Amino acid sequence: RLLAGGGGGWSFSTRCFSGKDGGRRAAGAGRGGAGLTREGAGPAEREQIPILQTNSGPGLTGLITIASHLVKQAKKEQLLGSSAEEKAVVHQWLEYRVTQVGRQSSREDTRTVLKDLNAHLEDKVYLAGNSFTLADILMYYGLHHVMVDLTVQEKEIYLNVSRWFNHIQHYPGVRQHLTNVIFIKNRLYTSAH
Amino acid sequence: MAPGWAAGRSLTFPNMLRLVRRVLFQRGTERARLSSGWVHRAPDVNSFASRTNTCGELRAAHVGQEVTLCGWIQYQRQGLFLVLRDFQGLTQIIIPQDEAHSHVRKLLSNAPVESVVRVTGIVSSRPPGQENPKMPTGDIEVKAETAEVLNFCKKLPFEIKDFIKKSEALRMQYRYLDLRSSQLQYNLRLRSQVVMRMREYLCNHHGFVDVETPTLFKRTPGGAKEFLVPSREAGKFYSLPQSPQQFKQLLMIGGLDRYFQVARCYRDEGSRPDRQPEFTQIDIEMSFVDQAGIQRLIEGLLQYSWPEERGPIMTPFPTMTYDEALADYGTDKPDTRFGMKIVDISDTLRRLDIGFVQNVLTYPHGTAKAICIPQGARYLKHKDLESLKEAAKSRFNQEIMDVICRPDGSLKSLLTKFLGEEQQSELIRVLNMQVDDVVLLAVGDHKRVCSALGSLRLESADLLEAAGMVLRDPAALHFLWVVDFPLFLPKEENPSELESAHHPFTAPHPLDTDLLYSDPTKVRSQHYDLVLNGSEIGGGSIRIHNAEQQRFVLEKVLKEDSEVLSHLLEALEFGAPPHGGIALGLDRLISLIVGSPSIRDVIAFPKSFKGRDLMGNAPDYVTPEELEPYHIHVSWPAAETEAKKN
Repeated sequence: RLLAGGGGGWSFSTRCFSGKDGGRRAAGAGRGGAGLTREGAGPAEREQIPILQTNSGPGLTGLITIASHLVKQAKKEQLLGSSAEEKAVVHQWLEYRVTQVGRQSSREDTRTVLKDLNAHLEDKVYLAGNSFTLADILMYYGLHHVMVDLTVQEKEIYLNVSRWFNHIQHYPGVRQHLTNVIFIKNRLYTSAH
Repeated sequence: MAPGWAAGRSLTFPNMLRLVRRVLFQRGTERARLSSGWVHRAPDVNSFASRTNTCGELRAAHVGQEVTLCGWIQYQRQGLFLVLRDFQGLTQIIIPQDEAHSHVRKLLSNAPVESVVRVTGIVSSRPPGQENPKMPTGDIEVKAETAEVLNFCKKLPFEIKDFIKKSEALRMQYRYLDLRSSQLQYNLRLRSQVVMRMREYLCNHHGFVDVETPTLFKRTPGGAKEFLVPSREAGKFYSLPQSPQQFKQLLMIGGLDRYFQVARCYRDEGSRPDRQPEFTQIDIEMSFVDQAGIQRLIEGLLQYSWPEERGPIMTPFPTMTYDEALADYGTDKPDTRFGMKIVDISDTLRRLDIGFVQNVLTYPHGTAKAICIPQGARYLKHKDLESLKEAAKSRFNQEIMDVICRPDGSLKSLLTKFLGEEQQSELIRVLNMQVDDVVLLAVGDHKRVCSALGSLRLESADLLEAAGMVLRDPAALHFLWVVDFPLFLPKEENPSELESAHHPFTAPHPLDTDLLYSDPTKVRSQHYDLVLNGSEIGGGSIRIHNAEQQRFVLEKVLKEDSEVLSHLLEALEFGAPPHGGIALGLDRLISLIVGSPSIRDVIAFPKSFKGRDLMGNAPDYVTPEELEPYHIHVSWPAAETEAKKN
């Protein structure tokens, strides 16, 4: 299914290792083991860097790079933005996603992210404005573990994020096996913004 | 933030990309597309054949083309049209009604169902309103111009159509007809593709070498279940291997570094039902590797090979120790798709004034445990509870007591006369009992109690689901590594003797090597099992690569004759690298992927439940003359000798 549409000659397998040595161990250079997480990598260390193995040519590295490549392969380029401005905004949020929303974020960092997003989403349906894009998808996956643990009160404080998140998680095919985060429609805590 | 703050539970980038990929490429699921599943270019299924297309591929885009199709007549509407079937699908063929084509009409009308025909004609759109949205080719039909009956079919013992239920024995006897069904076609094709993906991953991505090891070898110690093959040397026999175990180790010693094989293994289970005497394993061995390395390899292998429509697979798989598995689930292959875990209630019952309970709890392994069946009182009948208790008694010799939580919150049980208010509340609290829950509790030896409750846990789940409760998600994939098995177990027939829990070549845990000499029963092994939804799909270990240690284990602990393994022991002395491996049960794995309860549905020509081939009639007699070169005579059991005389 993945390739029947594209017709290209590559197969998708991710191999990833911790970025301990600054990334870039040669993919498939015959290092011992399966080339997956390195021994001794604890849960709190640096993010795993994904690599897309292609049968022809070198592999692609990086979450945004690979995701964008997949979007083009699926012939759904509109997910990267339509106009030049929109493309830039999508890219801005993809960059934000990778730099600011990581597994090792502190509570303080995450609070800042939620504040930023809440402000940005005040007058927008999606991250890029009025269209659903890859930025929404990756931000959803990146924030899921955060949203799952928010209290009812916190979900109200970040009201716009909650509204956006609830919208994205109902988008066909996006949620898959991830838990459905419940959002209560009636305000319980704040009567005014 | 909420107390359950868990930065560690977020998605890894690779898992995230798997989800993104599914979002981007999602379409409806359709079995017919399986053949173009993950391959680089859609394979040319019509190459070299005397057809232009298959019966599954014609669409509106083909209208106007002249095509030639070959297939089986699935259905015929007398003289008007027929449905032609091949491995890819069905096509409606319109039989020409005009005088010029009367010979075609005559030929096709008289051909019985399941005859093989070749038809050439023009693809046309179906008349408006007659399209069939449920059929992939439902928008078109082929107007036959010429036709040829390639072979007739005589009267069938049963109908090919899926919804006709056939007896298992009849299906086995006419297996080649059964193979025409869409379910078996799907299963076998999926199996082929999964194995192909595994080869890609192992050979092309990770440099494994595919080696075929011998199937004619000799008896191994503890190999009571091996088939014998006669040889021309009087008194000497070959043996069919239960696994390529010795050879895979020798290949590592030979410097192959990493090997795999789609290996046929043989096991003479005697009269045990539902066992295939021959089965297939994905057999893997690697050098310079540890447990974690093998586990990561298998996770990657399964992730890569798993069909998209049944995935995705999230890694790494969770891990559980053997002790945890036994204590919480009562088995070494836990089904973690649902709760109902075993709870220790020794402390609660210890305070009760019940003689036999007190007595049991004083023994070194004495314990009291319970499982809580949610809503058991509403979903299970009295006879269900009785049969559960009966099963525990007959299979494990374990008495079970039941406790039911009434609507008013009080407990109903033979135990309640011994339980004060406070103790009843404690029991409810410890087991988290709700109204209508049924608790099964057992007192006795730890291993027996846990095994019995573990078995009842699974049976209760079956009963609950049969009564309509949604308990286990059939689409869920719960993989689990079970580790830290004991290296040795007391023999069932003679508990003072030890046997290997896995096999004699398994290495002890590096921290337990001293215990090998002082107290072998306490040694943990480097054996790991892979469980999926409560079924064991693979098992492996890191091997002993030191000859002295291996000889000690064989001779001193297991008290086996090491002479028969002298070749392996000597090989270990010639510079054997550290090595380990694993074998996955391919038949079991595929049956779980396709959701079939039996492995017979994923094997082309399986044996019947008694190990017989009902189609070809095997095993079969041979003449005394044929036995002569092997210096063998048949020693007939008394009953058969009588039967032969008559």
